This record gives sequence, structure tokens and C-alpha cells, in this order.
Amino acid sequence: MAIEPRTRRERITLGVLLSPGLFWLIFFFALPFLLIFIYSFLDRGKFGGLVWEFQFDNYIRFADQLYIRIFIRSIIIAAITTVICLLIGYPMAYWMALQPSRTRNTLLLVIMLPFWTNFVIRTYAWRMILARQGQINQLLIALNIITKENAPTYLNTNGAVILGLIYIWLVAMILACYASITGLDRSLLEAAQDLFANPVRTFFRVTLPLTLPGIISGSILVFVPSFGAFVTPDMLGGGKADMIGNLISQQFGEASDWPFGSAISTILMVVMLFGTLLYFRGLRREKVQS
Amino acid sequence: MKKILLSMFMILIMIGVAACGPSDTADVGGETDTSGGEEADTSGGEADTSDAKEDGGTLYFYTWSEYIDPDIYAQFKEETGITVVEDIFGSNEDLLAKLQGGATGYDVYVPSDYMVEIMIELDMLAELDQSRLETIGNLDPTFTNPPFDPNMGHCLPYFWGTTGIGYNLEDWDEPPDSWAYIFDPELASNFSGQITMLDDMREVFGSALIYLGYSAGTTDEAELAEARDLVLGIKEHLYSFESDTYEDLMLTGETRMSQGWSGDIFAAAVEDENLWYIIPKEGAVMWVDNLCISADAGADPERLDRVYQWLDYLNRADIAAQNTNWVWYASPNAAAEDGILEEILTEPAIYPDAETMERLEFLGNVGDFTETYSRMWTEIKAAD
Repeated sequence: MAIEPRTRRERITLGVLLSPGLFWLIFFFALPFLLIFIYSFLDRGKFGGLVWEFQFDNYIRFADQLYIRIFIRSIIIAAITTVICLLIGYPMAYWMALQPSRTRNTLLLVIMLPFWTNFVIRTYAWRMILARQGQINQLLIALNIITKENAPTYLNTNGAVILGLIYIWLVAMILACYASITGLDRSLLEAAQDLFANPVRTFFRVTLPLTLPGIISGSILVFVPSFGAFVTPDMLGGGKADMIGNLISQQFGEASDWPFGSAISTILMVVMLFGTLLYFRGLRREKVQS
Repeated sequence: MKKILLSMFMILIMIGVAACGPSDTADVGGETDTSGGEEADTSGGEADTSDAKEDGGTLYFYTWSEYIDPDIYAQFKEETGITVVEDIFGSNEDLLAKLQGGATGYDVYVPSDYMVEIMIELDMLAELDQSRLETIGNLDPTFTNPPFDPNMGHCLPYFWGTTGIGYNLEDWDEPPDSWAYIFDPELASNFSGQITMLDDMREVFGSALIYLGYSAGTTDEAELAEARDLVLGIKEHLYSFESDTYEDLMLTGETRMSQGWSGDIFAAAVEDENLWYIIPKEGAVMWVDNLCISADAGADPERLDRVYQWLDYLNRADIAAQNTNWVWYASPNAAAEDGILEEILTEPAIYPDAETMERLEFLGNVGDFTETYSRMWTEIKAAD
């Protein structure tokens, strides 16, 4: 598949074309990560700051049930978010892909429209909706389901955080699934029908395997940022549903412990990288088998 | 297909940018940072007022949210031509972390007592030349030789206050005069899910330690652990840990009680007379916030000139009075008292009597022990 440069000229062209991407990768990914990696072996000064003494303490410190628990909780929250996004996003993308092309473009626009507003503002809106005197409770009171006196608040719970994350990341899932569903060759579906496969069977034997790449890239697009989220849990969790991202931001903020924050970041990166690699490897094997 | 990929890319860029939200270690470099995450609601360019007579330059003021009468910026500009740009931090640790993270360009910071001590030790502050302040004589002598900054060598006291309990008069016949109403699980359960505590590690431990009868700035691990367990015991009854908007939550009725700063609650009481504040009988944390000059402004005569004009202005009797009447904290400015509202001067929770004063305590600089505080704070935050 890869294009092999043959002549010198081609090689130069390739270099020119790649340079913006390489520049991006080096300056916005590789160098910052290297910095974080180096920091993670340093010691913290009395009032924060860095002391240049190499050591492994920061990693040893992380192996503590306190931090592991936050880590696992973050994985669970991110996983629930991903699954729900998939359950909502896939059918939605499927339905969109079936529409005539003009409707499709309108639908895409409608889906993306809210995302032109800063997500902090949109998350604040959820704070109002979920509050004790928010719109949900107003509706429930109007319907006589609850009374004003025992109206609960939905804020500052894991549920509120998951809701906020789904709301922010659903669009990534929809777009990823949509891209792969529109690329689906319709004649294969007709062929399955001609061979007397019922719709359910067609879906699970043809549509799903062929759109799996979209599902996977969508899942990664949702899982990775949800796992590291810290603004959403902060705003909808009220400091009571902190995730690993909050732990990191605390180390770089209040706790002034950059080395420990860097160590957690590095661990996070490695786990994510391996997770993604395993995922792709599994996918490739499955493809070879089928 | 291309179109789709393109739009996906655009979306991801936007989301990516948004996700970088409040990690701002960036320079101030010209404008107020309005995207500052948690503080986004209160920060803003209120300071930016137009029509200046002459351009007197710009001064960058790094302070707490709603900690100055916003009119003062315009008045100051009117008088001197200097534009003050305000930026907000949420806690002393937050301020220190942002400065250590490379935030530069600020001229004046407003740290509290123990943080002044730390910042002096870290060479972050310029020395204060009192001879350049015409209004220096306005200060109450009680505040001119604070333990954290002997003889005001670096900073000018700005406001002082206490950390106590904000409550709603509708709920109480007798005011909740004890920390037990927050820290005793049985009493707290009366307002389960309707109590907030500050999202500020030193303040939360400070109040808990005082309730337990220990020093608010303890460096004893066992005492601190006891305070941690105390907070863990009532965590299920807390609405949230919140420093910026807790008084708004009380205003909307979302919460009924809060551990809070005196002035915030009283400022909310202006809007809803049922909100009130009390210094619990066990005592409370007392703090003094100070106007301090950044080390890099201290090295630049032009910036320093603007800084002294600003400090002198804020310390003027009439301006200090106007400011006090807006923020509802106690002013260390004795000359301002004539202009301060009677109801502020006579409120014992703002200007406490001598007996109450004895039960107030500074948090104090705990040095290396901060690490233990921060670990136990994480344990509180991480608990289910």
C-alpha cells in the first residue's frame, strides 16, 4: 500500500509534503512528551519546582491503592461513556447515512452546530439543567412526580460526569461511524438479501464487520479523551467525582508536584498506547482470519 | 468523503483546543485570560474600559474573583490613564503553581499571609518602598508589622477576614455557632447534599483542625489524619467542594450551608437578606490578603511607577472605603472607617470583638509538610 519513493525528486517531494506533519508531531507531541518523561524522574522542591536528582520514587508512589483506585474508576467511567456513545451514535450515523445527500449535509451541520460554542459554556448549561432548581426538576414538579421540597440534585455525581462526557464526545463517535457507514458498498447488502439473509443476519455478518474500523476509531476518539478528562469531572463532579485527569492537574496546580504529575501522565500515555496497539493488532488478526 | 474527513478534522481541532482549557501557564501578554476553566464565569475584562484621556499604560493585576469594586478600575483610569487588566486565581496554591508554571507579566499579586512568606522565600516579590506611598499612614497599626512580612517589607495589606460558616436564616432559630453543624455527621445529615466546603486544601484542613482543637497549621501527621477522617466522615453530606460560586449556590437555594469566606457570604446577603455568616465558637482561620509587587515589575522603573500609583490609589481612604462597602471584608485601612457603612463596621462577624479575635488563627506556612497535606487532600477527594 505504501508509496515507495523511487527517484530523488520523489523523495524531495515526499519530504516537503510530510514536513508540516512532522513539524507538528515533533514540536507538539514528541518534545513535550520527552519533557514530561524527563520530569517524571526528578524530585520536587520544597515549594514546588524541580530538583534535578534522578530517581524512580514518583513511579513507586503511584503504586498505591489510593491512586490505582482513581485510575480504575477513570477507566470505568470512560468505558461506560464509550459504550453509551456507541449505542447512541451508531444507529444515529446509520440513519443519517440512509438519507438523501442533501438531507445528510444538513444533518451533519445540525450535529456540529452546538460544537461551535465553547464546551465550558455548554457544560455550564448542564449544571443549570441538573441543579436542584433546574429544568429537569421543574418538569418533574410540574408533572407532580416530585415535590419542591424533596427535589434532588443530579449534580456532583459520577452519573453527571458520564452524561457530560457523552454530551461532549458523542459527535466524534457519530462522525467516525458515519464516515465508515457511508463508505459501505450497498451492493453487498443486496447480495446478502439475495442470498436469503434476514436483516438481522445481514447486519451482523455484513454491515457490522465492514464498519468495524469506524466503530473502533470512534471508540478510541471517545475513550481516550474521556479517560483523561478533568474539566468535565471538575464542573459536573464538584470535586466529588475526581478522575485521573484531576489528579494530574492537581499535581501541576495546587500540589505543585510536577515530577509526580509527570509520572502519572507518563503511565497514562503508556497504558493508552499499549491499549490502542493491542486493539489494532486484535483487529488485524480478526481480518486475516475472516 | 473528503468533505467529511475535513470537517471531522476541524471538529477534532476545535475539541482539542477546548480540551486544553484551564491549563493556562501562558503569559498574560495583553489580554485577560477569559478561558480559565473553573474561573471562567467570574473572570473577565471588566477592567477594560474605553475612552481614556491619555494612555497611561497597562497594569496587570492578579487577584481573587470579585475582590474589588469593578468601578474602581474605571475611576483609576479616569484619574491616571492607566488601564488595569484583571486576571483571576482560585487559591493561593493555584497562584503559586501558575507563576511557577511560567506565567509572567503580572505587576501586582494578592496572596494571603502564609503565601506571602513562601513567595518572599522564592524571590517572587519586589521590596516595597514605603516612601513612595503617600497614603501609607492610613493603615491601622495592627497590620503594619505582620508576622509573615515584617514591617511590610514587601506587601501592603489589602483586606482581612475569616473563614467561617455561611447559613440561611430561614433554617435556624439560633445561628449555627459551631463547626459541629458541618463536621458532626449527625448534624450535617440535616442538610445532606446541601453543604459546600471550599475547594482549598489548607482552608478545609484549617477549619477541621480548629474543630478538633488543634492548630490550623499543624505539622503533626496524626492530627492531620484525624482531620482528614473528620472530613471523610461527612463527605457524603457535601454538595461539592467549591471556592468560586458557593455563595451563588446559596443564593439560588441549591445549597443551605457553606464553609466560606466572610465577605463572599455578606456580599450575597446584599441580594438575599436571609443569608448570613458566623464565626463558630471553636474559632476560625483568619487571613490577610496583601497587595504585592511582582519581582519583574520591581525591576522595571516604568512598571513600578504604575504599580505605586495603583497601590496608593487602593489605599486612599475614600477608595478603600468604597471598596470595603462593595466586597464586605474588613479593611486594614483605619482612615477609611469614616466612609465605611455602619452595618459593616458594627457586624461582629466582620469586625470581631477582642474576645473573638483571640480565637482566630493564621494558617501559617507549613513548608515541606505541604506534601502530606496534599496527599491527604487527594485521599479526601478520591474517596467514594
